[in-house]
Amino acid sequence: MGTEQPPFFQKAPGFDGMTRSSTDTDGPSEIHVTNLNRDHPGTSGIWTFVLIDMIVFALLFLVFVSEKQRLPGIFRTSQGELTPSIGLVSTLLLLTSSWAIARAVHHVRSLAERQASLELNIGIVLGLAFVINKFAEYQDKLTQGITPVTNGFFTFYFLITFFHFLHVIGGLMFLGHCRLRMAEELRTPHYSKKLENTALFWHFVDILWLFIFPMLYLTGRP
Amino acid sequence: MMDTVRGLDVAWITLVVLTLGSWGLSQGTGLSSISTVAMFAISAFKCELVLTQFMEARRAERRWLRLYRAWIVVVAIILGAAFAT
Repeated sequence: MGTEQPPFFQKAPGFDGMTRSSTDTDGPSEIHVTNLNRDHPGTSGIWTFVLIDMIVFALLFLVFVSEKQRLPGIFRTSQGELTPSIGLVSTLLLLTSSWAIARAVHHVRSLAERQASLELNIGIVLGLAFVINKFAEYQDKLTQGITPVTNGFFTFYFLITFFHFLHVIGGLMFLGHCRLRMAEELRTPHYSKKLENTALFWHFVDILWLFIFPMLYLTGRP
Repeated sequence: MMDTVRGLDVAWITLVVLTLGSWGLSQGTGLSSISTVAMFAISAFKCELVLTQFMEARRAERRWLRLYRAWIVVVAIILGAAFAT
């Protein structure tokens, strides 16, 4: 393809920017057009991926509550060792980051580069603040001698929060990529779709935390 | 465009207020079953706000909105029932 503009930059006759199925394509260069439905947030692929990931987390939550029924005393006592204010700060950081990214998506669609880049920066910085907060929390627990093998509750605490933490890291990498490519790709048709997909993943990370927060930090106190 | 951005701002403020409300509910000695259920109901409502406002799920194919909503409701029921008893 070289440095030439890909064919999808020049609107094909009859192409209205809506989704075209793969059977509509004439050659490999037009594959990019698939799923570029401007009215549909993100692509079907990301909605499917996120749903599968949500089901995995739901199963994890289910195992957590079944263990809680088996060992209610240990879970209740151990839950009291967590600091709700740390969970509160994490929640506010993720919610505000998600809000900034949602705004960035809208401003990318309207090609408001300055506003969108500012909002992406805010979203990424708040995501990084979540990471620092989580590191501090882990360090605090490990300093107290609390590890994943301390008891059943802390096995799940580390498992669920670390699995979620990996999603945050992944989301931040994608957001960082979108931020770095913005100046170059903002005016291309696939950039807003790329950011929408990344934002959908980021909001999903937020949704997971909205259940993890009460489940681990707010409930079950004596 | 301005309305959409304002909608995001209102959703964010609502989410922050509800988060502080949940945290407030948890303060004090012990949680009643009703407070616990209320806390997960608030979480489910917050997820609905993120789904419809931030993820714009109403503009996606209808099946995604249904499936994601079903996930939110199922998880809220499982957690609410497990923690309230």
